[in-house]
Amino acid sequence: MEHLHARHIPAKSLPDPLLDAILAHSAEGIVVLDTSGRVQECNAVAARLCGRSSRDLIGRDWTGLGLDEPAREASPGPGESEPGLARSPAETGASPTQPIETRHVLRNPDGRAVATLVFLREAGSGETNHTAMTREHALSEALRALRTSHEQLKNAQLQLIQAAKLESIGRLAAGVAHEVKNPLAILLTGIQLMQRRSKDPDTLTLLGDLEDAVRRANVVVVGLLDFSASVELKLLPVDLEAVATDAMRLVHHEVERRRIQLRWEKATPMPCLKIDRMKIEQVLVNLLINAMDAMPSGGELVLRTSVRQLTRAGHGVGFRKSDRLRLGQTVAVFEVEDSGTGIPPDAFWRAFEPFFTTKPAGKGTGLGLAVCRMIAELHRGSVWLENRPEGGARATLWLPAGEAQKGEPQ
Amino acid sequence: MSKPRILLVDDEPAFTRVMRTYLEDTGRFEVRMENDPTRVLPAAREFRPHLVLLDVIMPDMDGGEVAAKLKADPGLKDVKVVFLTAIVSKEDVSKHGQVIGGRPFLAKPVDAEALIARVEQELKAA
Repeated sequence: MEHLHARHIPAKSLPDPLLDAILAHSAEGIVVLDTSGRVQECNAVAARLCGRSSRDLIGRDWTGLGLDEPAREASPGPGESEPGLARSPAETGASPTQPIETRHVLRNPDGRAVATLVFLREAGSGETNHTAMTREHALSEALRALRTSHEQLKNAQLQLIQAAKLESIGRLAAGVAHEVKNPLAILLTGIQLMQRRSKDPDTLTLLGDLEDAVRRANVVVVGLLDFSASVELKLLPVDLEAVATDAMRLVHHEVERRRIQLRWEKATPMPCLKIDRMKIEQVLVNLLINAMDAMPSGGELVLRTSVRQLTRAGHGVGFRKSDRLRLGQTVAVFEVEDSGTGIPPDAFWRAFEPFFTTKPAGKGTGLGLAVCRMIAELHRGSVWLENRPEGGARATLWLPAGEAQKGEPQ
Repeated sequence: MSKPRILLVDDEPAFTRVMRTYLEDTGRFEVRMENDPTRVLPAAREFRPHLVLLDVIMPDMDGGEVAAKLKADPGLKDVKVVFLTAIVSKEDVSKHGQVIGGRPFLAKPVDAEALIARVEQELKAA
């Protein structure tokens, strides 16, 4: 996250309406505290990040804002005060006439800062002076936010380009599938014909290898077809526990074969939501199989289901209109945890790219997670991977679970 | 008792050749192949197949049209049709229950023994 420094424009030189407009449209949350630590002003973004209305925030002591760790962590920027809003100017070494500024940075699971809640605390004396100083800081914050917004727009543009590439892959898939599957059909039938006619063990071994190769190639093509077919949803009210049960049943055989301990932790009862049952089941099965593949010598696999409010920013999770999921929104959560070796750092960002795989040749098409993300996003949800501090990885699927998504099972 | 007759329709000659050889090798079927979908009707009138294995995507006329023409012909309307198609995903297979337009289909590349099992199932139901 980029910080903007240096340009201190005297707040007094700007008309108040302009300053207010900048504050109102700032992408960062800004809270102004008085000398006793009470909220004097705040913008709409700050109110949303705190999960309250602006009116509710005004006059409230900052310690009562309910900023929970680790969702929001204090982090000073260059030249800023140390974290801890309760500290006095004397403690921070700030001049009595200098406002104190502290920021809480909201981070996504990989630690990238995605939003900042800025607290400006007015200094001890000279009301006119310190109000002007505070406004100057607020203006500085607004400019910083503009720079941040610019960066985010550039990132959004890159994501759009990526999305366009994925759409092209989808369009090409059916054509490619037809052109590749026909030759595969000739090869497979030919190989099976020779197997039928041959009695020589060496020849039969070689033909078996050829047949495996053809089947592997077909798995890639079928993956492409599934990838391109994932754009239409058939939404019906479905009990999410039933979907999880079906997914567990589908992987049951593999779980036993690979000597994996599978446990389902039901943190809360799951709701009935309007989803495409087969596609969500496909996502869960994909995530479970990925987790199993990460534990070649066996291990522990946990599926945890819950309904909760989002408190952490992440892919598609934030506070902007463009975010599919908003902080504070109620979501149905499926977490798949393994006790494997975790995700290599260089694989994090590429894990959801089509054809990217860390599995050995022939073991994965590299399309599984790309399909998972596409399906999650079609449901206005999100899917994310992270390493667990205790070892292994966690894949999380979030689905919006507000009143609009609920329904009675049919 | 004569062997069941199968008409194998696909615009890919290499596929029809190898599949015909496989089916005939089993000794259980009499097979004729046709690579031009516009010639299926006269070929079927002459060969009088019990079952047509029909590719879906073909130039000039697709498998669906060919099946409709067979169905419209009084002498061929009861001939069984099994589609072979290269453009289905796993999702399509489970969604359609292996039936397109009321007809069974198999996804290419098809396992030859699975194809024979499906053919025999259809012939038994005739």
